[in-house]
Amino acid sequence: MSGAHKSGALLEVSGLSVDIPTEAGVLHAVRDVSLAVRRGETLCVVGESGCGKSLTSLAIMGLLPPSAQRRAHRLALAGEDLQAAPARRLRALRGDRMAMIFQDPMTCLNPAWTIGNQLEEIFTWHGKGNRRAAHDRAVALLERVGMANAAGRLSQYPHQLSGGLRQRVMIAMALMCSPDLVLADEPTTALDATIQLGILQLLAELQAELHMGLMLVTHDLGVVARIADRVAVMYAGEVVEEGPARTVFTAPRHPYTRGLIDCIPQPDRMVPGQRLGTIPGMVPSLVGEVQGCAFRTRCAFARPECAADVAPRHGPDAHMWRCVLPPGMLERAA
Amino acid sequence: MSAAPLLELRDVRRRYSVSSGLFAPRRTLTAVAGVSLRLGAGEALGLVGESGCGKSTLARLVLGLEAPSEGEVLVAGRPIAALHRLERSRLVQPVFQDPYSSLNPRRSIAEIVTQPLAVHGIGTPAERRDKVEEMLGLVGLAPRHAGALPAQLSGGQRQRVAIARALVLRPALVVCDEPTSALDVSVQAQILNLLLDLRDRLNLSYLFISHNLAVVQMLAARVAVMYLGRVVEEGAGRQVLTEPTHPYTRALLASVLTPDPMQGLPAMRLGTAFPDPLDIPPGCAFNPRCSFAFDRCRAEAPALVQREGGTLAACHLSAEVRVAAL
Amino acid sequence: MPGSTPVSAPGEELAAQAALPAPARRRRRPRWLRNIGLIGSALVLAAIVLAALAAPWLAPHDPYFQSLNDRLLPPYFVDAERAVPAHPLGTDNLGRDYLSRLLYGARISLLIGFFAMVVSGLIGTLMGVLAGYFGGRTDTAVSFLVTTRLSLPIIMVALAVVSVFGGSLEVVVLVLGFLLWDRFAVVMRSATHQVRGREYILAAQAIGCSVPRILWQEVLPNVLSSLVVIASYEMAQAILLEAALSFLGLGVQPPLPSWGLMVSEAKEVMLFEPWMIMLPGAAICVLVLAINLLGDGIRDLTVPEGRA
Repeated sequence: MSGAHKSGALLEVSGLSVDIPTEAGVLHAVRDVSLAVRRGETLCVVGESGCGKSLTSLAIMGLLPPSAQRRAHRLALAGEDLQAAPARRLRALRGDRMAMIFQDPMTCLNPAWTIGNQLEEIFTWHGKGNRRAAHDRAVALLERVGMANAAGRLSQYPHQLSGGLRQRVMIAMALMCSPDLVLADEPTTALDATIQLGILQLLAELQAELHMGLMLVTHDLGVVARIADRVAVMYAGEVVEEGPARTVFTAPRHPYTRGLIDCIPQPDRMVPGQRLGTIPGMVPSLVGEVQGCAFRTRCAFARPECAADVAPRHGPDAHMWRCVLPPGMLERAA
Repeated sequence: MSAAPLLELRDVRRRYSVSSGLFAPRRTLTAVAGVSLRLGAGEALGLVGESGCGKSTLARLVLGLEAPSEGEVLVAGRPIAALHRLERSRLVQPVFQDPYSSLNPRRSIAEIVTQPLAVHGIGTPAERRDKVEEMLGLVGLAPRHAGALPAQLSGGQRQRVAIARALVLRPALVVCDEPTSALDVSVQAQILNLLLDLRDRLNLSYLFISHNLAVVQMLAARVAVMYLGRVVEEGAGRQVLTEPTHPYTRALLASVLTPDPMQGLPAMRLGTAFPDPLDIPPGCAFNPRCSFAFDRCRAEAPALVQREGGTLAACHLSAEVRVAAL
Repeated sequence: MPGSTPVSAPGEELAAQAALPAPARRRRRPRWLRNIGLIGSALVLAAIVLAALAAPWLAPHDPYFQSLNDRLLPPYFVDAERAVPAHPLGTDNLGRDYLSRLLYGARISLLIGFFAMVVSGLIGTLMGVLAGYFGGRTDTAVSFLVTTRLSLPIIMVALAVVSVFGGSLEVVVLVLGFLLWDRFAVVMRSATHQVRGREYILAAQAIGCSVPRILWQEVLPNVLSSLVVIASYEMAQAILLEAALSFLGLGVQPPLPSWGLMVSEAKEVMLFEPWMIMLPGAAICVLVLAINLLGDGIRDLTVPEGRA
């Protein structure tokens, strides 16, 4: 097992699956995902569109669309079983003990209410204090996320702010009740590079300062490399590799991880006109039963035994990968 | 570069009149504020900047879809906006950002790829059918894709179709406006490699527009960095990337996060506020976000002047100060 | 215009997965079958159209032939003893066969509905597409025309026109055609405006397409589904208005067998022979309902696909 069952984990996810019935058959969007986030740790879940990374975070929050079915061996926040918890308890946990930051700050803030209304409501709804306390906390947090004139901002509406500022408001909103765990789903994808950098710096600082667990879902390996303590690489609904960021980036054990890293243009390492590494082929359909390694159709190292289910392998530092290749095979590919 | 350039922009400006409310007076948005660029045949020029910097407006000006308010856009020595639509479309073709919206969902791939030929009255229907196969092969699609509708293809495949449509008229210049930013990284790599291969095979010139310096540097030997409608730095890609002169270029470069787990987040601070393009600060437009700004930067806009190493930059910082500061 | 930000679609993972090419295409047929409203209304409408086309063969009598001896015969379902086999739905107060008049009346309703819809559709679509595509002053001008049109009461205009030109089929078609285009213009304007922002329009401009070609090949196919829905609604609207105008004596003139006119003629004996007003009334109801349901069904069929 990966770190999921070790004690001290703030978030424990083990054997999580999400199935979505479609008219063509059952779509196995998330398959047997196990993750753990400790206090003060940043876990990055990385993968390309359709790999199930967003559904994984929604499943943890209990915010899946009604047609999706969630199953898990264990899903616990600070030891409390989220699967057994009644809806009321979950509502009380969401926004209080665990908060979520979404990709699109344009649509996640209600345009009809002021920033102040939206920030303060979370605080008072969870019974953290009266309006005055909520107001003070909102001002303090907006200042903390780097917004000038925080008290004045409270009476502004979302459309009066730029995208970067809205995302800062979203972060402040997530922190209103000082949650133990923050799930951020592509928080910087809609933003420009220089603005993205500011938001990532802020997230990293706050996480260290408040000693929260942070689960960051992204498609950008550059972001992951710079901010993650641990990385989970998802492909076709499955975590194909998980481990400490350094190990995963410097000595990946799954060919998909290797391929993803080679795809990224790196200005300091390339000469103009040099070709990038690519991953040929397309993501397989996850409708119906999926047998064996889902990556084998695109893998340069595929072997006959890849057609059978691949059990997870484990290395030092809770490094997990699902690949039959012996060590050293991927170094040459790089 | 010595011969007449394929593309030349001479102090191009583009202004829009924007209404900001029912009773507010109309205001002027200067999307492009005096840009001069040259691009020779067979070369690639990268244009980097963030949203609102005017790079997409510049793309439409180069495509001749809009006329500049001031200045000239010359393609092969002729003002592009004044040419007949058939003539200009043989000179310049675009590849757009979003492959989900750049293909008409009601037409088959074969129809999309041959549409330029039909508009220009080139070839018989049989010849056009052969052409589809040839073009699909060129961009790495199978002949069986010809009958498909865009909705049946993946994002990367659609972008290949868009490239085939752009190349079927054999234009000399292709304007790529963020051609990979809507794609996954592994697909982005495929498309970038394809653009490189096509340039070598067809001797194309690219005006390659992107927000990502790393992507631009892959394709373009020369790079121009835009900020709020102006070019703030221009030079050889290597030079700009290894020794950036303008503080904004430095900031952009620092925000390209390479997958290197040994480095943490760069310490660069750029403030939280992105300036309003309707209300550009006086002096150097970058001064409110620049940590080196001094009085002159707030009063006087710097001109684009040549620096050591051949790079052009618009910054008041003297060479010594810069060396000391950076 | 500001530049563009990178957009990835992680939030759309669900949609992306569910829309995997091959299975998505095959899903269509069950949707068809489930849509009972669409199939039922299509069948009813087809039956009415066929009956109208085949009226000369189906009708047992000449709809204009008067026989004062056979006045006001009841239909079978009202009074089986007094009913006559030659007139299964009875006769009106001039002894004309009611079934034949109903069959020929379907022709008038469909004819007026269809052509009024075509005329108003042409005007409204042209104005809406131009306004949505060009925006700016064209848009302002079209919006002004739409507002002006909405301030004209249809009945008043019809009254004025009929009093000048006299009531006839052509006049009714033209009056309705020139008065019902506003909804076409409004809907086509917003649909075109949406399509206008798509990059394939820019791409078409860049390959040198002329404006008419862009409107015809790029814009129109992508606004067609809304056009079909509006067209069906306006056709139903025109049929109802024709009936109303004829009822008021402002539409087609006697002895033409319009359903509206038949209602009007029957109102004098409404208290004694209520079936006479019920039959053409029911015919109007069924026809209008079928057309509206068909439009709704077509919308349901095309909307999810149009989203792609």
